[in-house]
Amino acid sequence: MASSLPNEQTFITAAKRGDVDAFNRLVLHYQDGVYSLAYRIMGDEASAADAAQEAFILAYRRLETYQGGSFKAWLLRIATNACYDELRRRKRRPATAFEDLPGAEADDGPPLPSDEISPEQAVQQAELRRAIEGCIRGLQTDQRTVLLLSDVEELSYQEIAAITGVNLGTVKSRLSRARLGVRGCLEAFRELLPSGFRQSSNQ
Amino acid sequence: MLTDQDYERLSAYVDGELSKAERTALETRLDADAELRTELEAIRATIGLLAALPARKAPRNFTLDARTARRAAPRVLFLPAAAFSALSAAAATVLIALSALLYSGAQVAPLASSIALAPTQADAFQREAQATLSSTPLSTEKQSTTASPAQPEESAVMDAAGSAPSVENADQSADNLPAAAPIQESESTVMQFAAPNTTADANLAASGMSAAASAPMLEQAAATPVALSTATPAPTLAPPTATPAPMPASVPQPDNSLPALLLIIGLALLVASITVGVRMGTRWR
Repeated sequence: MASSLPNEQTFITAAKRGDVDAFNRLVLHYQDGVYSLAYRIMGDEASAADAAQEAFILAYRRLETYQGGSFKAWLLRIATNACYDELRRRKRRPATAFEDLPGAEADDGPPLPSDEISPEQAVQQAELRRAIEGCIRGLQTDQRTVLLLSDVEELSYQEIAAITGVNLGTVKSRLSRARLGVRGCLEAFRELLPSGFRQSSNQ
Repeated sequence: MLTDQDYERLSAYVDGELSKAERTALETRLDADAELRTELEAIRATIGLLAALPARKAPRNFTLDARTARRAAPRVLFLPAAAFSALSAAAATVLIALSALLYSGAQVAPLASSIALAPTQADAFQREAQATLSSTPLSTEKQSTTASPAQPEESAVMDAAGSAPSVENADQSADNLPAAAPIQESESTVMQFAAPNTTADANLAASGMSAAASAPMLEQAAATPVALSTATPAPTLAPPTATPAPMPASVPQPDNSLPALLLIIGLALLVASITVGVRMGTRWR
């Protein structure tokens, strides 16, 4: 997720006074990150979009509770909770559990070509991303969330413990198991992986 | 073969989350153990892949429009809604209890003096007063001059009195009385003017105000200098003790439609209160 917006605190202060435009500047800056997290927790685009929208509405409503510190971590906490709420709602209607959805989601195409990569490389990158996201989706929800917050969003153990409401020891063990799970899963996609990964797990 | 604990240590080591002692111990083992080193590199590589995972593009903007923002800011709506919900619940309780009381046929004459009366009843009082006084009830000056205090009908009217506005009217009329007028006379005047106002009182009750709301207003009226001198024994919840006139037999009994009316209004308010409360609850998460 993107690093913090320049003059972020100015926008937050204005938004707290009810300036919707200032809040929307924050939304535009963080929406890809919030949506990505929601997508990877939820597993499909429609639910992720719903959860992300809900997260920003809740964030605006609860802006008073933001008391400094990392705004991104505060926002991801709300987003995570919005996803968990949605997952709980689905559990009560097991017929639509996302594990049962066929094919999960449509791919939204290869990432925008950066600097100097060939079309083949772009396709390979898209496949790798799909493989990694598939492996993340295969984890239990608790492990998946900790892994995303730690290794994708790069939050500290402290922040993750606060967001997920568990102690540091639990964060540590869930993260370790999640990393092992993803690594084991990625063995199946060895040909997509960068050479470093292949070497290290090739024994 | 590594244990779960070994993997946890390696994982926390990569994140710099080990204590100094744990770190030193692990590094000593890493120097000696090739398998441990391999696993450490595998964890690092996995983390590297995850960190390089590109963000997904949001399928649309999640910005808030003005309407959503207003709805998302419940502080503005919350207090009035909560106040309405609580007030209407209280009013509903009073009205329902009252209708039960009236319906049960309890002795209502003293109580009825403090509560809302049905418009029809108030009209009856008004007609009565007009017949006796042959004057327009709303004209305070005329009434105070033509009032004849000893008439039992007026005393009967007094028992039905009790609304704050009428007391204020009474203050004016008391002012207009000759200084020598006996207290009793002014009391009767007060009561007499209260009668037409009971209609307004009933309207108040219908609009969600409880009959009890008139109590503080009465106190206010009593605190004014004029009221202190003449109208102090204002028609409050208890019937005036100094009334010499006997209770006339012609006090109209509340007809049966009154409890039903109060019950309906009470239930309607209760439904309104619950509806607002529930909507508030779903909005305030």
